[in-house]
Amino acid sequence: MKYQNSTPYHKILELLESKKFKYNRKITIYNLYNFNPLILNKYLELHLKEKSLKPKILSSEFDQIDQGLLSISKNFKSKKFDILIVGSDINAKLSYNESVIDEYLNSQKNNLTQCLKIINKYKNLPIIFFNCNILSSSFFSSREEFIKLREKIFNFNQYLYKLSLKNKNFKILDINVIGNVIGLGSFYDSKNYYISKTPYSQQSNNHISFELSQTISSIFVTRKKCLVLDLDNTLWGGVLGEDGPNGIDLGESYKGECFRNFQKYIKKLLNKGIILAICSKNNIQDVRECFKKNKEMILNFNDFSNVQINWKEKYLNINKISEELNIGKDSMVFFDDSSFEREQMKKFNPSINVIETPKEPENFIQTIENSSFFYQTTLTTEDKKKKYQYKILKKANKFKDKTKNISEFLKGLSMTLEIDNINKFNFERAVQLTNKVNQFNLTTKRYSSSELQQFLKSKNQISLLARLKDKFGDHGLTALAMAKKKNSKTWIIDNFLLSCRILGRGIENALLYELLKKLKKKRVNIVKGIYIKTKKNHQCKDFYIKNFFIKKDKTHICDLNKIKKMNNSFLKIKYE
Amino acid sequence: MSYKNVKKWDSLNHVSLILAIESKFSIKIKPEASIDLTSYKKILNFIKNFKG
Repeated sequence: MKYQNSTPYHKILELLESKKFKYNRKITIYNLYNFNPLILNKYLELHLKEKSLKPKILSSEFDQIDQGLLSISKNFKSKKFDILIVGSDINAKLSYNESVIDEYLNSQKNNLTQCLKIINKYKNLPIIFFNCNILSSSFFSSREEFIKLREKIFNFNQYLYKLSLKNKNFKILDINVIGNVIGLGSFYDSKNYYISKTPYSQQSNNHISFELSQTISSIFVTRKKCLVLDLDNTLWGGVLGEDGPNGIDLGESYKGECFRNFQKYIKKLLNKGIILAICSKNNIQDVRECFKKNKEMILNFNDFSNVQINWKEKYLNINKISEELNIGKDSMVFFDDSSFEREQMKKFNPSINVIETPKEPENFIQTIENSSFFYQTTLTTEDKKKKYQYKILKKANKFKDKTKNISEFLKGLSMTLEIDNINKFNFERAVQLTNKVNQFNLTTKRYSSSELQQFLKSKNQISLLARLKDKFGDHGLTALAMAKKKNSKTWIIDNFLLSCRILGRGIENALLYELLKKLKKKRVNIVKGIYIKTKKNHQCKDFYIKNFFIKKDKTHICDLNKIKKMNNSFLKIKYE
Repeated sequence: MSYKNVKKWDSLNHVSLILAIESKFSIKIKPEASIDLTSYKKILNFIKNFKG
């Protein structure tokens, strides 16, 4: 965790007044604190807005945590919030001795029990829980007392962390680490406490709310998919074309070690499922040679799913990366040391996310971390496989170039589509798909976990999730179809989407056909399909008309009694 | 303009206002003084005296 430069409070208020934000999502936050969160919430509001989230922050009266939790666990039906924050800070008690701390720890344990009850009952409500601060020794009467109490607090914090590992909806706000980063001396501000019942200093408010916003955005904002990197002075120091494969700065020197650590960090991102690409002005032979010969290199040339190394403009090259990987430009992040390249990218390719790269390589990692483009607290198994999936996609594309006839190509892929209902094993992925897929998405309805849970509860719905395999490997769970009953004869397709990496194989038609077959079995007569236009889903505009449906007013109608058998011999369908 | 005729000017927002003034003008306001700063005029005079 890096020290956040603290924005003064009046600046926060000014920015909230004057700055124009773009929002992707509204969220309602309910918080329970044993202190007055007014200032903290102002900072939080700004940090969330900067992450394109529009928050509505509801607070209970402060110092009412236990009552608040009780009323939530009893009366949850009236729940009108997306996330709960529970923060009890020991400094709100001010005087320290063994009994005060014991009392505080007991109340924390009670709060925790209540939180776990709530999580158990309402599976999809995320809770952020403040852990306990380990205080400095000066507050205690004796060294022995200090060591004893410190251990108690430490054990409780460890216990909290273990819980958070087991339960993905239980998140920790580590007040302890923040205290260490800022320094306990400037962490609390007792004047603030006496006049406003806010224990924290301005810096701490800023820091705590930044960490809160990181956690919240990791829950509600889908992270970026692809990191596009430059080479010279980005992955290593110096210029390859001038210094040669062994002359570049990488490894033992001061700068070299910075770059080597940066490569280690990139490798970590790769293992977390981020797709890597290179966009560099260089000679491709030199680069290949360098990756092969330089022994300090952490990354392999093969770690990059797409490579554009030539002397063309980068803002043009990045379009190629986007096309070849089938990744939307707004899911791509550009990292380049040259401000000229960054400015050009911003000007000519404004939907690409550009990171303001610092001059010093020792700050590269922190800059990417602070951007929170790739921040995520839990990994789905799909994420871990993703790099592999983009690789097999590349192989398939090469195969496509070789075979000219498209139907011959599809048959040659020996594809299998495994269809399953949405269930507890694939639920997470289903939610992720509804939130991530932009291009082939008929309604672009985004579902939160609880909304999807709600949908699945109804008996009058069908929801399918499909996995595609071909001769190159497993592409994962990549297609989803959901339909619900409208009235006794009519059903409506609520959600229909396909991850872009498996487009162009006729999977969408086959899946629609399977859905219609299922509906026919249920004795449904009419199916309605809606296309809701967005900026990105133009390509599926005529999807329904091409497949069994007739356009009627603003929707598409399919009479199930009239549908013909579809020829989908290019693909095997398997039901799980 | 005073706390009497500005609806949102309650005790909580008063704290927020005082903090904003402190950080804007890089000054520290004593809690006793802050209780007294209940109108725009009083605040203006206070800052003028502080700076002058």
